[in-house]
Amino acid sequence: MPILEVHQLSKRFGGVEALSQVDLAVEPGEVIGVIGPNGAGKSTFFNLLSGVMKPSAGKVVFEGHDVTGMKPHGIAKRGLVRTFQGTVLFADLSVFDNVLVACHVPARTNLVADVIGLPAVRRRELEMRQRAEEIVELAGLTAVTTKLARDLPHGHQRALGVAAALATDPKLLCLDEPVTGMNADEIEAMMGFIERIRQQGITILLVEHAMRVVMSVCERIMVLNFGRKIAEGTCNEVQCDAAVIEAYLGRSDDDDA
Amino acid sequence: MTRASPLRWAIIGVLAAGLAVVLGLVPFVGGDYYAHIGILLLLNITLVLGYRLLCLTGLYSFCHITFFAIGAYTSALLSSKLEYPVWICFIAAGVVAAFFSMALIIPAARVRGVYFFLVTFGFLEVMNSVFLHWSTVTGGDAGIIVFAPIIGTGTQTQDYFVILTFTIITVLVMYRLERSRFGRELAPIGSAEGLASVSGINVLKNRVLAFAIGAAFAGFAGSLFAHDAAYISANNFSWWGSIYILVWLVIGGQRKMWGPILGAVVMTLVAEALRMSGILQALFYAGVLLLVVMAMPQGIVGLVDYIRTKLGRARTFGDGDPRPADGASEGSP
Repeated sequence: MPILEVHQLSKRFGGVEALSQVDLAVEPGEVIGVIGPNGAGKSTFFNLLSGVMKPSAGKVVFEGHDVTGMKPHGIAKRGLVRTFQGTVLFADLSVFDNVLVACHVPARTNLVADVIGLPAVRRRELEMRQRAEEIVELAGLTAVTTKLARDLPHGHQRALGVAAALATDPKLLCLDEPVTGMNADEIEAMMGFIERIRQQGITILLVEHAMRVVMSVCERIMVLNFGRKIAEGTCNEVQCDAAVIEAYLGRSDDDDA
Repeated sequence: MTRASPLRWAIIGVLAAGLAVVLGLVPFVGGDYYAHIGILLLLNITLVLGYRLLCLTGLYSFCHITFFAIGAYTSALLSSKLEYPVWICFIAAGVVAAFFSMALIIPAARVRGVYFFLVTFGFLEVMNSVFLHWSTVTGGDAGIIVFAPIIGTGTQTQDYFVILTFTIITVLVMYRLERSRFGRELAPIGSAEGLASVSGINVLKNRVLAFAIGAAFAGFAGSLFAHDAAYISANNFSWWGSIYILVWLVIGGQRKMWGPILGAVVMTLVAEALRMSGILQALFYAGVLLLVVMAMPQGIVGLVDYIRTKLGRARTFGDGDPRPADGASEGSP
């Protein structure tokens, strides 16, 4: 059974169709790329999946449950978690605390027990700290763990954003342009991190402009243009697809040109 | 950041013991007057700590004094008109204040920033009108006389120790709340609401809870205030009260719990030492507020953090330290 099924998903802003009747099925453990020129509807697609926006029409089914129109925190708790394109972090918290806050999200807690400080609460707290450490290490941030998020260089901030999303224990992780604005070394580090996430059995949806990253990380690719899905397939299939080439390079009216 | 060393614990122990002695001696050395100042100071600490919870999530209300007032009136009415025992009045005061706060914030949390501030300001003014003009119940300008003492015969010393105990419990509960999952989720909501939401944090629920817990403690404090003062009227709860609470928070800095406590203590004592009242005190508060906002926008907490950073120490709000992981996941398949 697919972990994520998207049926005829559409979003209109007034007269503009930002996303129009997109279908997609994602199997557990897959890494799927979502590409397309600027304004193709990639970010809208993520916003609809994560509940940040409500679709005008269509359905999002996650693990057999219809999550269309649910609140973002409800969707995240079910295990569909996204990162943001820009650098959005809890700037005044340390790297460790950013991850630790996220670690608490899937936990079942009781405010009264927390305040009294029952032994079970203390035990859980220790487990959370251990898990946070592991994730910080997985993200390659151990050296900067006590630094404030705002004081980190760009590459580390982006890695922290992904690490925090990973800490919420997602089943499907949506990464929105994780390597934008990075230098070659930072991109290398991020690709390693994504690979380590994949090895943990987490399904990944990746929106990205950097083709080298998409082609080397993803098993399957969906191409959007003007809000419509124009192609879907393996990297090779998509690269040779006439509609995709036209969307990216434009069509020549003159065949000789 | 290091795990608290034995030396650090020793210092904390000595400080706590010293503080306990000072707090315990106040009514015996200073007499009723100092016990009275002590009571105000302690109630102020509860007020500002409760107020801080919602502020952490980035919403600043202006009606915290109203929950104090609701607690005071609830307790006074139940005690004077229906002659309920004081402990029931005390509990009811907190519950009723929390109820009002939830009824207010569930619709009001739809707006942000200055609009939220204005909505709560409106609530404060409406409630003040009710206290002032619904004379058959609230006594209006003439107020209500509260006969029942908190315990015993209701001397200042007895009241002082009850309120001291209550304040210590408040501080402990706030300390534990800060380290609970709920407490950890407040600051992230304040700094990046959208991210908090898609990370699975229920923004509205946390805000309602923060507001209600703060209001409940303000209600408890209001009950103690009513039974200690033995008389309340609408004049006790003007919007100046909300301004004072806000100023203590800003001066102390909201990020750490001890900031607002320090802000409340310092401002209450300084204002009292200068024997200021009315317009003079208002001017003093305004002047200090302006200076703090311009010179150290993060308050005393921010100033201390700044100095610590300069000395090369990192800041985190965790109480333990993240030890280096023991090689886990280094060579995972």
